[in-house]
Amino acid sequence: MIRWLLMLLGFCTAAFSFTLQIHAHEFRLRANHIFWKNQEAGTEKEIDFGRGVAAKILGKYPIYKDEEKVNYVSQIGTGISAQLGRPELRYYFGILDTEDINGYAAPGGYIFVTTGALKLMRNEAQLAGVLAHELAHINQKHIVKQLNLQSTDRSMTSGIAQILGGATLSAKIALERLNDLAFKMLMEEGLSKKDEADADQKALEMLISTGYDPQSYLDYLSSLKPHLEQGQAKVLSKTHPTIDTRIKILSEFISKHELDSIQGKKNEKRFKQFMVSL
Amino acid sequence: MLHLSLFDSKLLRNKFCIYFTAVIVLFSWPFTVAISGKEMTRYIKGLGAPLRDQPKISSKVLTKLSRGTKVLSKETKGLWEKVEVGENQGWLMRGQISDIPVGIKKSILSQKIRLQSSSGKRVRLRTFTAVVGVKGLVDKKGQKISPYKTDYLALEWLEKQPTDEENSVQFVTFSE
Repeated sequence: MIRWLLMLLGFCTAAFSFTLQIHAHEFRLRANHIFWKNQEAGTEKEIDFGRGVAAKILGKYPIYKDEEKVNYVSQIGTGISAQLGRPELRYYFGILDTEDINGYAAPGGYIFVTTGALKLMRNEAQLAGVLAHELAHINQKHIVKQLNLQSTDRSMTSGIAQILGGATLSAKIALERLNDLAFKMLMEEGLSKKDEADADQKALEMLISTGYDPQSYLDYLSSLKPHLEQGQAKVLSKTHPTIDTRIKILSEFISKHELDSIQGKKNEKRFKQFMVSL
Repeated sequence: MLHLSLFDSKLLRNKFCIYFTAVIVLFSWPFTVAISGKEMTRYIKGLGAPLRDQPKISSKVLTKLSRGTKVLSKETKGLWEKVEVGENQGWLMRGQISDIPVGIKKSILSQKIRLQSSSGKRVRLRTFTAVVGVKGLVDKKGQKISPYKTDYLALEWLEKQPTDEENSVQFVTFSE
């Protein structure tokens, strides 16, 4: 009798286990579907939100309209974003006409680099590194997370949709105020040190992945030092951790993942050819 | 009754108890694996992600995977993930794959809002933020909400610049 009972129990457990597996699978599919729907709606809001921030960046610095140079920067940026960016976004890479040395990223895919920064760069790998750093901020949704635009389902972008999706005047005012907060974050307060370190590390990964020389990015960061003291990179020094801290964190990352032996392309000649008249 | 009898010392010696335990373990194992999620489905983000033989950038490229391809992640090692796709097994850099399915490109630039500007001229602008940029959103007291200047014309110029993902990927593969 006990034997039969035990066998029955064994089969029941097996059947229960299979049922649970099916349920777990169905649950995952359903959760994925809901998440995905929210994500799609959220992406549009994120772009709308980011456009507002990008327009404010362009309100502060004039856009540089040399099509050949913009096209070159855009091709490098798009070449990286097409491989390592968020596939649902169309990225825009622009140049800001200012001697200030910096790069900016607004949510939704808007990335800028200043003529001041381009003049300081020595090769294409350095440009790729700066663009990849900004791309990482968008990929990781750093601004959106820092502004706490998080909804109850923990999906950052659907949070934006919930907060900014309304058609009422108060929703519009909320959007405008959030745009200002994001703009202030880029120009004055900066993102968190953790986010900046994360963007630096992701930039290094992207350089390796696309075959660029990762050391060139560290060289670029070192070359910023004298300009920070002279005040040509005032915004950058206000909004980023010190260069020494950034280099220290990156060096630790390099030794942890044994990346020191990696040598990639620098494309110095091509970079100079495009930037010669800057 | 049964519950108590399971813990009976005589019963523990019974060979059927061993069968019972074996049945439970065998049938629960796949469930445990499914829950622990060691093997996860992931998706290729980029255009032509190279699947490599070893977790090294200098390692041989086995094949190139197209955007949206489903891969089964088997193991993580530093910046690399070992994946299985069809008959191939190889390594991808972690930045090349996404946890969620790849979505279609979103654009809000086709959404246009018509409005009458303050000078009486009819303008067509894209999206709400652009309207705010021109009109200047005011609160109930008539104060402007934002103290910052905007330049939507410059932004639209940038948005009109042509880009081609495949060409650009080709452009960055160039090495002097």
